[in-house]
Parts: sequence; C-alpha cells; structure tokens
Amino acid sequence: MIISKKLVKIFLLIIIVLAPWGISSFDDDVETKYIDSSALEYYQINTCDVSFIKIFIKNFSNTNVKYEFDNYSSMRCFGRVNGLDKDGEVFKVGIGTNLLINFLIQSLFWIVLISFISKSEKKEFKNISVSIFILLILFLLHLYGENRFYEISARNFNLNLDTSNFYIFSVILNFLIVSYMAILSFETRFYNLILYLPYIFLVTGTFNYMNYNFLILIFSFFGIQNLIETNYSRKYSYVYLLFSIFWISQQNNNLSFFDVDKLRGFSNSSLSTSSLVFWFVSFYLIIHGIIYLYKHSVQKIDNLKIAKNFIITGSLITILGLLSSLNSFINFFTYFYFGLNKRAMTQISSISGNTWRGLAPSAESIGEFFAFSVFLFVFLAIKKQIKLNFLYIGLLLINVIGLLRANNVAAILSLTVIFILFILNQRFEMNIKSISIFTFIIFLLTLAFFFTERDISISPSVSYEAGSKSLILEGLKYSNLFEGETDRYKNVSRYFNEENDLETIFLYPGNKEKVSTSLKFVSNIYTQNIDIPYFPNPVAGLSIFALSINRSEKWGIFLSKYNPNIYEFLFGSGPLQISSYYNGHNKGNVEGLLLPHSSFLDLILFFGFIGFIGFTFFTLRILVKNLDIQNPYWFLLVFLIINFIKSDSIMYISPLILFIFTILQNLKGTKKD
Amino acid sequence: MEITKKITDSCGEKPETTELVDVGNDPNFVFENDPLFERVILYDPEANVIHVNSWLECAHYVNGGWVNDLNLFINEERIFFLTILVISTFSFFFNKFLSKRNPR
Repeated sequence: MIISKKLVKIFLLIIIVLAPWGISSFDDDVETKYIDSSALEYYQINTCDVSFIKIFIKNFSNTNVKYEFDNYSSMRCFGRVNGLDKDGEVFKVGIGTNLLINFLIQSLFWIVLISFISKSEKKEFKNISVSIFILLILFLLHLYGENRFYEISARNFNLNLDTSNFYIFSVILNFLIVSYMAILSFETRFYNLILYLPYIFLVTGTFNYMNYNFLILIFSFFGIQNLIETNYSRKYSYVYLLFSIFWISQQNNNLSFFDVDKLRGFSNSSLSTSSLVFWFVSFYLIIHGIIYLYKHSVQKIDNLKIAKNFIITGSLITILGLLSSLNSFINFFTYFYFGLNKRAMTQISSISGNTWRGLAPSAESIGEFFAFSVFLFVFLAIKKQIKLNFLYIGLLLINVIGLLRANNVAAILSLTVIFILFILNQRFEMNIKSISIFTFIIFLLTLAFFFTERDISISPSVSYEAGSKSLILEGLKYSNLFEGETDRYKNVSRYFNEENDLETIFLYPGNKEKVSTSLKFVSNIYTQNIDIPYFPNPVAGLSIFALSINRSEKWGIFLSKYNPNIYEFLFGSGPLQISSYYNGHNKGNVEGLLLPHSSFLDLILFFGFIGFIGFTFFTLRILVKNLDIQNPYWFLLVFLIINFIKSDSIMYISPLILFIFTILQNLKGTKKD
Repeated sequence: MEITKKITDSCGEKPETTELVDVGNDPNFVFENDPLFERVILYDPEANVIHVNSWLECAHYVNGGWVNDLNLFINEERIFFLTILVISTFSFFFNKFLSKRNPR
C-alpha cells in the first residue's frame, strides 16, 4: 500500500514536470525543425505551436541552443516555443511561461515533494482560515508595493479591484489553493519537518519571475501559529515594533526600482510603504515560524538523520549543479522546479578561476553550507554516533568537492580551525578562556599570513602604512571624486596615500558632497589626534583586517555608498531593505549588484548600529553561556559567525533559517524565545 | 474610413504626411512602408499575426477588426480562473467525501 502510494506520487511528480512542457499545438501542419540560421524566421512566425519537449528532442545534439524563459507570453503559449533569437553563435529559444501558471505548478511540485516526508502524529493548527487570510493580505500588500517588479515581469499584471479583472481573482484563488494544500500536507508531517531542513538549500522555493518564496509562505504561517498558540516573550516584539514605527516614519516613497537579481524572493525591490510593511512583518513571522517549528520538534530532533540529510543534500546540490552546467535542458528544469533565485551556472569551470556556485545564488553561502555539512557529519562520525560506510564516505567526498569548487577560502579555513578546536577539546578540557586565546592566536596568524599576500589597488607596495589606509582609499576611489579630471584614482592616491592630506581631497570643488557620511565618519576617526600607545587606530586596524581577508575593496565600496543620517545609522532601514542603499548615494559607481559582503554590514543596513550591537551581544552571550564541546552546533555557530564577517549569507532565506536553527540548537534546555 | 479611438489606440495619431485613403476591398492596393512608423503587430480572432509598416495599413486592418492585443479576443485569466475554481471546488468536496467514508 505504502509502495503503491509512493509510486502514485512519483508518477504525479513526473506528470507535473513533463506535462506543462509537452503539450503542442493540435495543428499538425507545424513541423518541429532543427535549430540553425535557416530556422530563425520559421520559429519567429510559428510561435506557440511547438512544445519545449518536442524542440528539445529534435535538438538533442545541438550544443548551440540555450533555452530561456519568456514570462511575458500568453497563457496558451505556456511551455511552447515563443520565439527564437541568435546571439553570436548561440540560439536562444524563448519558452513561454506565465506567472499564474508558474505559481500553481511550482507549488504543486513542492507540495508533492513534501508528501514524501514520513507522517508524524497530526498537528492541529489553530485558526487556519484567519491565518491564511492574514497571509493573503500580506501577499497582496507585497504585490501592490512591488507592482513595478511585476509589471516588468508579468503579462497583463493588473491589481485593480473590479469585477471584470480576473487577473486579481486568479492571483487570490491561486494563493488560497496553494496555502490550503500546503497546510494540509504539513498537518500530518509537522513533527518530522525539521529533519529535512537541509533540503531548503536544494529546493530554494522562489517562484519563477516573482519576488516571493514558498518558504516565506510556510514559515509565516508557522509564525502566525506561534503568535496565536504560545506564550512568547513580548519584550523583543515591542522593541521590533518600535523599530518598525521608525522605519515607516523614515520611509521615503518613490518610484525607484531595485533589480533584486540573485536576492530574488527575499529582498524588497521597491521603496513603498506597503512593500516595507510586507517585508518587516514577514521577517518577524519567519523568525517566529522557525522558533515554532523548532519548539514543537525539539524532542524529536535526530542529529544523525539531520547530518545524513545534510550530506545527501550537499551531494545532490553538487551533482545537479554539475549536470545543470553540462545540459541546458536540466539547467532549465532545476531553475524552475527547485525555485532557484538565479539560473544554475552554465559552465563547469569557475568564474575567472575563482568560484563555482552551481545551483546556489552565491558561492559563499553554498561554501558555508558544504563546510557545515562536512563538520556536522564528521563530528558525529568521530563521536562514533554514525557508522561510516562506503556510501557515506562517497557522499562526504562529494561535499568536499563542492566546498573546494565553491572556493570559499574563509569557509575552508574556519572549518579547519573549528576542527582543530574540536580535536584539542577531545584531548584537553578547554574552557571559554583557553578557547578564546586559541582562536585569537589563530586569528592573528591567519591575518599575518594573508596580509603579505594582498595587493592594494592604488598603492605600489604592501606595508602597514598603506594597509591601514586601504579601506578609506577604496572608499574614496569609488566615490566619484575629481569629476572631469583625468586619472581620478591617482589624485586620490596622491593626496591621501603619498601626502597624507585628506583635507585637500574634501576641499576640492564638488568632492565634499560625494563623500558619504559613513566614509566621512571613518576618515574622521582615522585622522583624530588621540594616540594611545601600542593601541592601533580602530580604522587602521579594521583596514588591515579587511585587507587581510580580501574585503578592503568591497567594504570600501560600502563606505562610498552608505550615506545614512543619524537615525538611519542607529535604527537602519528595515529587514531586507537594500533599495535605498543601492539606488541612493553614489548610485551606479559600480556595475551590477554588489552587496556589502558582510552580514554584519547587512545588519547595520537593516537594523542600524543598535541592531548590530544587539545582535553581536546576543550571539556572543549564547556562545559563552552555552559552551558545550559535546554539541556540534556550538562549533557550527562559531563557524557561521566567523563566516558572516565576510559573506552576505544573511540576505538569503535558506542560510538565515540555518543560522537561526543553529542558534536554537545551542539554546537547548534554556529559554527558546 | 473614419479615424476611431480604436485606430488611434492601436496605431497612434495619424501622421500629417499620411493621406487618408479608403482602401476598401481593393485587392490590388499596395501599402507603402513608412520608415518613420514603428512596426505594429496585429492579430485577428483566429490568432493570425500581421506586421504593419505604415499608419494607413495599420488603420485599415484595425478598421477590419484586427487588434494589437490578443487578449481583447480571449480573456485568458477568466478561463484560467473558472477552470481552477471548478477543479479546486470539486477536489475540496471529493476530499471531504473521502474523509467521511474513510475516517482515520
């Protein structure tokens, strides 16, 4: 019976994957042609007649074809060829998709996947209708607030509430059906969900051409349940409410549009009050949702099963990432059905010999995931809780390959450090003091090693003097100074680096307005006259550190753009709000989406300096108070915090959930709120 | 031929240089391309597609019932909405019926 049910589900999955892309026009006259230059006109005339699968089979051996989504097509064109263009040697085949159908198909696929999780005792959710209604209101707020994003990416997008507008009715009905079905499938599997948490790195859950994620829906629902059901601590909620009031009062509504790119599904694309409200309420609910899930599953957490699921997920990510690089058909499907933020890489080789992100939007975050999986598994294997066999060793190796391909040096190094720390802990009884001294020595050695390896872009030699200025130098370099003059960077280098004369730079006509408040602030600290013997200037120290971990340019760019007033600096702009930073001061000084490259800087953007201090204090307190060398998650929390210094992982939903899960695993036996 | 709102919506305002000629059903009439006119794609109820290269040609076809947006013929969202409404309602009641027959 169980096998037959599973077979039905597998059959259903195959139908969901193949059927939407296999239906052709009933007009038999339309032939499926092999794609070359002579077929260009043919496919431009005969649109919406040939199915994706048909054209793929016909062009199976054709390596010059790339399949792309054309979301602006009509519904009848869904899954069919909607155009053909030639770009150099590559033929780009547009396959019609549509926002309303995407939402339904992707959700159905994920709900069927969830149904493979073994059933637990039933969880009786409370006030389901009210919860779904709240989620629907939030979802509509999101669509209204970010209508510019959707007008660009969806055909006939229309949110006018009138009886003839079936678009909005379809959106609402779609949402209700998906929410209801998802909740129904979670009811009977709720207590086992946490064991499958690693899979959120494989199935990211971002809806195609939407800035919305399936995980937001699920965890927001759990969040509402937490608020209804449990007696949670109110004090943090009141603080968050105060911050929220501040964010709304500071919100400067305008039509600017932020291209979310790889952050799609978990970042605000506009500057409107309704989208701001959606994101800060959703963020709050997601945190509550994770806590809710954890609280109810804590008794059933099986670390062995979780560790196995981590290495299975890591292996699947690596293998499917490689397959997606090799085959455009698989690349197309992994993007759609796993809900990736960004198409998987189309090449096996790393970007300029640097990183390989595979399916993930960011090589840094996936590198951290691989290292996390490897450590957790090896920890339990060393503790003899997992019996190693050839299968596990194979899976582990695949994860190590994934980690090496991601080329996340920080993750590899910090993984090594926590391994050494773990091994030392097995031999000697270490307390927090000895661990801190050990970490500090390793930290200094690493800094010293990498410092000598770095180049400073506008300085000919690496020295303490030049290194201590690197952050300000990079900030000035990206501040669009000395407009109209040739060789603008050299001017910056000459005045600041050679002549130690920042004032001339600031006094030069037009320069003063271009230097951001944060860069000005940092420069003031650097040039202060207070000199404490043997204690380096804080900015000089930070610059040396940034240079050593290869972040002086990225953080310099951050300083050149981050231009808050005092209130924004203290309270931030709200969670997942990067639009005003990106489209604000010194807009366009760098090409593409360049994030701050530190989750701590992201925190300053979102929650201000107060939020940053609060977060740092909170996590360090957890680390100190919950030191437990038998708990792998203690080491993993150290690992994540170290890596957050130089990665933007907190901006992606899956790493954020993993981080909160890791914190909660350290709070065992203490207050969960 | 009268310049209707439908024509100006689909083809834009009539250029001053264009002379308004009633083409009627003359099969020998040849429309001259206007290089200043931005090509418009028109559809008929059978979803046939035509690219028009002058304002006069565009106005002629729009006058004959062609439109620049297929959705004016088919309200796809309406069909989609009614289809999923029927399927979901049926599934809901079928599920209820099944759980009544086989209570756990």
